[in-house]
Amino acid sequence: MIRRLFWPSFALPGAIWLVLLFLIPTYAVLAVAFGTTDPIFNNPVPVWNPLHWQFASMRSVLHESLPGRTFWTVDVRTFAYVAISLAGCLAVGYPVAYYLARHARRTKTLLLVLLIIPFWVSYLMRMLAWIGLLLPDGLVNRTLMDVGVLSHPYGWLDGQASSVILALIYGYVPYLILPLYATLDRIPGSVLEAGRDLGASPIRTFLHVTLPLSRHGILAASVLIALPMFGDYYTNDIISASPRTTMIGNQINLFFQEGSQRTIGASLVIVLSVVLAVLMSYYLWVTVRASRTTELA
Amino acid sequence: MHPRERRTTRRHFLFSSAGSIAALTGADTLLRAAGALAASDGAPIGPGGIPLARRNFPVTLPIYSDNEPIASGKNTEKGPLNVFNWSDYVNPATIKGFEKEYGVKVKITTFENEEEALAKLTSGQASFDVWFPTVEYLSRAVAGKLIQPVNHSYLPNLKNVWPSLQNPFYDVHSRYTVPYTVYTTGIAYRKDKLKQAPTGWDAFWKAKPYAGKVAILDDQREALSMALLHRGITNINTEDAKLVNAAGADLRQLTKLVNVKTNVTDYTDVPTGAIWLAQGWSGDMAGAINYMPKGVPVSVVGYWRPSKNAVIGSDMIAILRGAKNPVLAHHFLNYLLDNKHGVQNFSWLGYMPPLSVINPDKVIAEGYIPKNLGSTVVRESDFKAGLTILPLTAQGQAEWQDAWATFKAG
Repeated sequence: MIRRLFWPSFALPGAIWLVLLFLIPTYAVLAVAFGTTDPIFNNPVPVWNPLHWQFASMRSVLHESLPGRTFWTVDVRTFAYVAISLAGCLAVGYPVAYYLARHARRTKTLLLVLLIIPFWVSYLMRMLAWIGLLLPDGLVNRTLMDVGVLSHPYGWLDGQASSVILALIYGYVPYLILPLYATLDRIPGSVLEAGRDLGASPIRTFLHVTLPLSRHGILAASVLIALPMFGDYYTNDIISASPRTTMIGNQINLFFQEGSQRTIGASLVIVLSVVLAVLMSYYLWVTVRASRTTELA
Repeated sequence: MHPRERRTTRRHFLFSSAGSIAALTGADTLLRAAGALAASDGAPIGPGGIPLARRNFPVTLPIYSDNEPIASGKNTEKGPLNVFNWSDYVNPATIKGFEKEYGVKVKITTFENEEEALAKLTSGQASFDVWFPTVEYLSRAVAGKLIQPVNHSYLPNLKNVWPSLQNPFYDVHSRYTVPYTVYTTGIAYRKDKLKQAPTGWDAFWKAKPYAGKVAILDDQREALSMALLHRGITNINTEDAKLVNAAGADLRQLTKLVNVKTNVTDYTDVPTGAIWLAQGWSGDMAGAINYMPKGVPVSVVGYWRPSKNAVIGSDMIAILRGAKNPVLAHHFLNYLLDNKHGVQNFSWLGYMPPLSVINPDKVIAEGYIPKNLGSTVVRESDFKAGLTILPLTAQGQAEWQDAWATFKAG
């Protein structure tokens, strides 16, 4: 009995970690969302006993999330931004990761270091830097006018959805490249060579061998950046600040940071978490299925 | 909201964590019931049963038996004095002067927005002596026994303040606070980019040619108040949902017309030309000269505010209940109210202290404020004829927040 549990017991620290640092805070969010608000300072008052939970705020949030109502517009817009940004990140990040994994020889270390450097600068600072670049007389406009693409400065910061999406792509692409590189690096070169030996052109090898083999890595990297992107609010505040480009993170910020309706903010967090959990479960299902097929093989 | 509430600032971005509640006296349900009731004399009742001050319903804040002012004639403590203030809101030279005069050290801790400040104060994590609140949070701070009443025997310089602010309607007899700065809310604009200077709040709704270069304050009270004033409604503390929602609908119209932005960076955006027409605070434009790009004269920026029914904000200084150095804190308040130090502070800050010695015309003549920005100066007559953003009941707060959220959803 003890021998059977010996090796599994090594998972105990990790399990305790999971319980303490994930499940308890999640329960705390539920307790706040279904709790009350202190009338003097508007501080949220968590209610720990599920029997005393109050669901008025959650009902109100779900009602406003129905098609045509306030949160619906924001939810659809957020989803669209994340989908487009994800596609953009993959379009930019995949070639970089592919080159790094398969072709860079002498410069591999240098390129890896260059890829990691953005992590040294906080996300906030990287976004702030872009304001200076995107101002009417900033570097981007001046360069484009010098080259002749623009005749007069373009208002990048005038509340444009395209600017927000570009900023999201820029902000999250480093987080996509590294996991993708890790997956592509692990594809055995012999498999690709086998494809070439069997007569496939480089393009066909890529489409029919490399791409399917990296599918799992693409999914993992996508999940890694899509989840935080859904809750992003700072990018919109900095790059646009227009109600036309508000994301769900901004609405959460609005309700939870001030005023007397903190429970609405917490309820929005739960709704968002449930949606993300559904997306995550798809990822988990794919992973489990993949590991099962490799077991069978 | 407060002019120094830079949510997306060049500094780090701080979250306000949900702090634990301060000692609540009485039952929750009782307080909530009190919050929903309107007093028979017309002023709404806020948390803790304290009536919410309105200009025509001045409020004498209660002094609780377990939160009385300190005794007179006590000795000054050794310090250090812990000050909790907005970032960059006191002239460092003024602080140094105080340190020298009293032989103490002053430690300043800063906050970026008031909610964060309140969370820190109510969580009991840190102990401060002096805090700089705004009127919106005054009744809450008193009801929650966060601040202590002041003892006027230590504050002889209070007589330097405008008479109307020595005994303000929101704190009759100045029981808990002394005033610090006054400012107006108006329109900051670029004279060289607009076809004509704004003459009223309708400038926003007529700004279609400048779409993308228009901004309003990212503050639900300020922005919705502006929409109310645009409609001719002067009660900017109304809790009538119909009026508030109509104001929200007007703002949504602005989104359609000019793709209006909401931020509080007018103090740099207008000087750099990123925004041409912005709702802003007077102190922001008074300091515009510090943010002009190279080669651009400060004469290109302008500031308009209504001559009647202008929104006037005023900051206060208060002493926290758990202050370890209450006598020293009183001396600090007194020091800032001194004429010489007040002017010294003003020259660095840009936001005006309501001191009678400051002659607005002299301020412009002596070059403290550029001539084209003379409208940023606040006079006592402005304050008397102005409108103040004051606290609402919980239900009122919810109504305003809902209208704001609907506008922000786009």
